[in-house]
Amino acid sequence: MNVIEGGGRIHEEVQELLPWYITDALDPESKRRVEDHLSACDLCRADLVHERSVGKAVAAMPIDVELGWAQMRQRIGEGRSHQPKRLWSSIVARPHIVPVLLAAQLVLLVSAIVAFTPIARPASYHALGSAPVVASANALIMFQPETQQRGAVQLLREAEARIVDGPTATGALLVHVAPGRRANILQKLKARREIAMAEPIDP
Amino acid sequence: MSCGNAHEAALIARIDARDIAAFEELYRLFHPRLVRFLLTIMHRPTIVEEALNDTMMVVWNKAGSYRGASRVSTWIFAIAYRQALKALRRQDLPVEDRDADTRISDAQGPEQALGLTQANHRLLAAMASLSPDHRAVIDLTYFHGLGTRDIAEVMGCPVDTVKTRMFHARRKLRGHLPGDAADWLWDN
Repeated sequence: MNVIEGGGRIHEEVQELLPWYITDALDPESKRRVEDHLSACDLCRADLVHERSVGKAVAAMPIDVELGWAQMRQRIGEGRSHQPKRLWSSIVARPHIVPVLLAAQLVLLVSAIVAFTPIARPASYHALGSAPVVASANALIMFQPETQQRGAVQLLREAEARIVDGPTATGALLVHVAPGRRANILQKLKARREIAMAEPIDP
Repeated sequence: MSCGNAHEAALIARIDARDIAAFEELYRLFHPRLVRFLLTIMHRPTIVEEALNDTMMVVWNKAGSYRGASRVSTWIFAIAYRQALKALRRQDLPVEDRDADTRISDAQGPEQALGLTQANHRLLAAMASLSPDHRAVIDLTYFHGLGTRDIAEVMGCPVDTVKTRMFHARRKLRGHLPGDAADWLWDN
């Protein structure tokens, strides 16, 4: 399959190497070939400008706080610790590393608090409808920005999804869907062009 | 080999001798990078924590298998990558989107210029639409600054595969970030 338009082996090679030319991770010979070609190829120069922007944006991209905060809030609310069984077995087998792992857990907790602070707010739950909602969120949905309210509501109805909280700072909704059909429901939602993201959240 | 890597390699040697202080220092050094890398690949905070600790347990137990042929960071990222794939498989989540390279993106964008929040929103959504393999190669390149050979070692594949994955990942990402880059890059 010819995936690169423009023709020419050197053009294809430069197209592939542009990201690492930008991050200065090429060996001198590859870097020289890229620069020689760039001086003669308008398309590659244009792509270089675009790719620099992409690289800069990805490097500055925040960790997806919404997913993390949804999990953290559930854990705080339930007041239980999340300790993998296999890790616990390892600790029992090697009691001398307990202080290290305790320190590690502390680092993780502090990191999580720092990372999640920007969207921190009271953990009150809002739901559509008048009946009290006891179900917790088990999925996160984000609509494309251009999606109209009517379309969004219709999609949620079709999925039998109930809004538990949101929208968050980035416009995501925390919803509850039928646990037994969650994978199927999220797959169908992802296939819709109105949906930017539909991801499960584990309790 | 960088000064930083020489120090990290010295820590690994001490860890092989069961030096807990060295392990703690290495853990603290790599924690932020591993959280970022694992979360980018997995998109599941609950299993990121477990995968991170699984990765560091391998470092603790297998420090003697580090031979110095690659940078310490490359060696640890390779362990983390394998742990992430294992965790995704345990959860029955797709590791590789086999049609991702040929599928035409149906992403559509508004004509108006984008603000900060919307730009973040679009980039996060665009990254989320990629397969874990594509997210990994983009993150290793642009955030962690790895070259093609290091990424090939991390992902356990040929260098040419890294280049191809990156090319297709960029193309798909571009499909989700339409228009001129200045339209959605917030700090230009």
